[in-house]
Amino acid sequence: MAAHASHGGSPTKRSFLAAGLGLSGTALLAACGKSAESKRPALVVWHAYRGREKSALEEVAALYSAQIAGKARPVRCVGVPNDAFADKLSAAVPRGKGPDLFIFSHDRLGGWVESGKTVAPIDFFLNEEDRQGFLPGMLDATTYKGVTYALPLNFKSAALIYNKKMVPNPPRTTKELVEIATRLTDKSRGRFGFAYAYDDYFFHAGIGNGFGGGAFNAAGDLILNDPANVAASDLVRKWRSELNLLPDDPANSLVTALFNEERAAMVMSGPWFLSEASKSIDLGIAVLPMISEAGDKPMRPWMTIEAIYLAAGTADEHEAWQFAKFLAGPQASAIMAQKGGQLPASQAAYSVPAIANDPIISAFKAQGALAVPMPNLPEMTLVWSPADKAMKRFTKMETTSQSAWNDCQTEVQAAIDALRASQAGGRS
Amino acid sequence: MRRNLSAVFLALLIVLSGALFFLQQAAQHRDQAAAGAVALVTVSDLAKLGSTGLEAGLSEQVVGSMMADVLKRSGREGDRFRLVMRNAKQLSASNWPGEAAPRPLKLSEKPLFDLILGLPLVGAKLDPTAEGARAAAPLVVAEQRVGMVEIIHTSQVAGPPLISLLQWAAIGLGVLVIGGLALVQPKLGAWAGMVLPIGAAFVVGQVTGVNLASTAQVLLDNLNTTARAVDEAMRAVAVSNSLALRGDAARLDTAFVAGAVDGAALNTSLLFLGGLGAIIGAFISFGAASSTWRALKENPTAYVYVAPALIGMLALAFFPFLYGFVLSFTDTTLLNQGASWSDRWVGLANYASILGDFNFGGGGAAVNYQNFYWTMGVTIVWTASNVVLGVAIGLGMALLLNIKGLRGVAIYRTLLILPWAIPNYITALTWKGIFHPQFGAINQAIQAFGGQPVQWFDAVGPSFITGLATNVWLSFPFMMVVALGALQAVDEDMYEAARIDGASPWQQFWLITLPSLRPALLPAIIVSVVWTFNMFNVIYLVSAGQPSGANEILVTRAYRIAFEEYRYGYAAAYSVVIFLILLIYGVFQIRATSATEATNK
Repeated sequence: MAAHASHGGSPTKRSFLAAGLGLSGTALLAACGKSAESKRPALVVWHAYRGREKSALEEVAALYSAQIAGKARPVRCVGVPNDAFADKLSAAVPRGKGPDLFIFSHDRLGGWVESGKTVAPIDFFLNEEDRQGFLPGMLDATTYKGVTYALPLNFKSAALIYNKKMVPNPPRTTKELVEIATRLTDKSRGRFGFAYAYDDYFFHAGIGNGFGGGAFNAAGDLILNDPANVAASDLVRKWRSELNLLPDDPANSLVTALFNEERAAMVMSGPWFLSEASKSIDLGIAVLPMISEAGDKPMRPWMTIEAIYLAAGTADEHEAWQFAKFLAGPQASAIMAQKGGQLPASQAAYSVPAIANDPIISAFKAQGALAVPMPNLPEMTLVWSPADKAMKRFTKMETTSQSAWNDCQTEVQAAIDALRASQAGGRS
Repeated sequence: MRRNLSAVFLALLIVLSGALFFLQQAAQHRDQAAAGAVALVTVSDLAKLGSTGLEAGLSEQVVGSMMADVLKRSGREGDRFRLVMRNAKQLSASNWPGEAAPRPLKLSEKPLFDLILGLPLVGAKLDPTAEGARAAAPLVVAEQRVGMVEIIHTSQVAGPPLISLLQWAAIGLGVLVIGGLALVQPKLGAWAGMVLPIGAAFVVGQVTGVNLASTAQVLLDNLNTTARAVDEAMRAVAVSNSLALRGDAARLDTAFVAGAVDGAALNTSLLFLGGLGAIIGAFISFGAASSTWRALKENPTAYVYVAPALIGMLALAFFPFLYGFVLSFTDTTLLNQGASWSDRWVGLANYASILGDFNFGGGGAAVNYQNFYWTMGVTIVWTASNVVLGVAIGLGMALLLNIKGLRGVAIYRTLLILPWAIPNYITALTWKGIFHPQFGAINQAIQAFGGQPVQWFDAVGPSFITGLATNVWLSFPFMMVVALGALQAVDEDMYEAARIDGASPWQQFWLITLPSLRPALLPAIIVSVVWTFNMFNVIYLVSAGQPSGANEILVTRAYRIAFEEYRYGYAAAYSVVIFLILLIYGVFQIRATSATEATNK
């Protein structure tokens, strides 16, 4: 009869020293921030937007505040620098110093749920009609262990971005890709048909997932050294080292530079690339080619979904929910898409002709339908660094793909076990 | 005499009031745990009955009345239950006064709904409410959690006190006797302020331990009687509704009682308290308190002036340091940050795991670059090579700039200081680009002269050189400025005298220039060693520890443990080890060179 949900332990279990330190720490933190007991005059939303996304969000907030004026509190948007955002959330929200809502990508969700007191579940508010309003698969990204925690706003995934002058017809299969790339590549002169950050696991995952691999299986077990992942890695090794199609040490900045200097005809990148791409290049966006080596299965790049979360401990969850629903709804999505340049997750936004007919949005939407949400398991954060290391090892022919992934699997599994052990120790 | 008395009095006051607080908390916690255990057993039984009922196709209302029946039969009508269903979002049954179930859940009742999927399958004890202990368990149909039942157990359980009045009296008498003896013997008087608090805390801890052991079984039997009554009522209700229950009766085991009051932890807490009392007692009785007070009274303005800086240091330097130090004894990670300190406490395990890692790989397997000693070796080589090169180049440049009659010194000096003036992460990223295998300037130059390009980041040596080149570039201007300043202060007459005596330029350099530079260069080298040892930016941005983390230094490794593996406690221990290494280095370096005194000569 273990008391599974009784966190905190007993006062008697704490040693005096530790309790004293903990208390003084809490007291210090409490002294630093205002107490959030009474309702704030406005519903506070934290976001990391800048430029046009920020002004689009503020427009939506103003629109909503005008609609509900007198009935509910207005919405106030507070910008938080992107690099500090995650730490700020996990420091402030559990102590009741956070916002009422916040906008963040979905991949941290599992960690927040596991560490507790950060995000509030929304199944209570969410009805079937609301669920149908999103593109397929979007809500899966914001669902952890069967509980939905956030409403998807927009998505980003890598696609094939190509220079129309150099590649009139984008390749539909990797066989065609290799043909075009072989024709255009002259490595000694620094010219490439196809370039992407192939030793970055984020970009590689599209191929790995296409082969049927990935980081975790449906049960949440780590499968980095799965045969599918090894096959995907061997393909990239072949491109790089046998066919010599890809540049060495491909940082994202190098990929951008190559594309902008018209030295790379096609790149694999996401919507963020568009703002870095040279305006003088006539670029096109296409769905990533199907993998001929995997029986023409599509590449399935990882998709990150930005969502609006209800912060745990907000003074009025229902009021917060109403703004979340508005922001994820058709009207606000259309504003965020047209003025903020986002790819909306809302189904209805695509009935707006200006959005439906936009070739860039349509291409990314088509790619999004094939993409898979990045795992939102807390363990995922442990995968990145070792996986990037493994990618570098086998692309540089230091070892075989199989042994690189075997080592990586061992390393990540050990880190996961260490993390899980700490959790088990804390909840016994 | 008076001092000794006040020391004993104050120290004992602290220990006894602290002990009373701890014991009261422990007793309260024990009672709450007992009540919580009853609530948990009850709610688990109700959920078992409810799940079976729902699976057998009974309606939620029938299930609800069965639950009310169980409570009634086990004589617990005072307990309140609520049955909440997930799909319908409704309160299906309840015995709360004035409650008209079934009805849809109110907005304010969202926490009840959210609890359904938040509960483990066996149910969970929740935070106690003002009315009593609270627990909840899910109703499971076809492996799905479809609803939950929550119970508030209203009857209070009060166990025996942890220390009886008689025992208190005995402890008090003992304290009086020993205190009196010590005061009569003036030599022992000062020690009494120290020994009595610890002794009292120890005795209180021992007595509690004995009392806990003797009452544990009684407590357990009481709880099991209650659990059995609920279980029997549940079975009777199941039979009368012709339901077949699966599984055995829930029984509480001794582990629960042991966990309710952790005697060992209570003992440790009391001993810490005794230690604190002893420190305060000693502080007063050995005269430190009065001399501190005197110092404060004599120089009040001085302390007022120092106070802001002192508070700032406490809040910004010492508190985080101490926090990190304490953290290093825990296994805090991303997932258990919310747990209590005692649940995360692992003692020296982190240090043992860091320092006791002798898995170096090799012998067929790849070298284990994550090993602490490998990383420390790399860090030491990194620091030594950087400082040697930085000092050599800096000194060389300073000697060149110090040549009499050199034209354009100001321009050279400005240009040479530039690497120092540019933010080092910009420099680091530039150098990373310079070392790019295909597009980097260095490989282009090598190819222009007909050489083979070097894959800079693919092997340990070349990758190390990329960081070294960057950091030397960043660090020589500092050494140059320091050396140049010292060079200009060297008395020209000494060189003249040396020339007259027929000393060669080489002898002049070794015997005049270098010794004159010593007072300025040594502190600069010490500082430079510490900076280089912890030069995060260059390693992280240029080679990022490639290949396979082989070129990681200790501080970048600590960063990766903390922010890529999210093992905060382990990373804190790593940082403490780094601190200790630097501390030892600093102490030895200062001893060996007496650098701080050298400037005064």
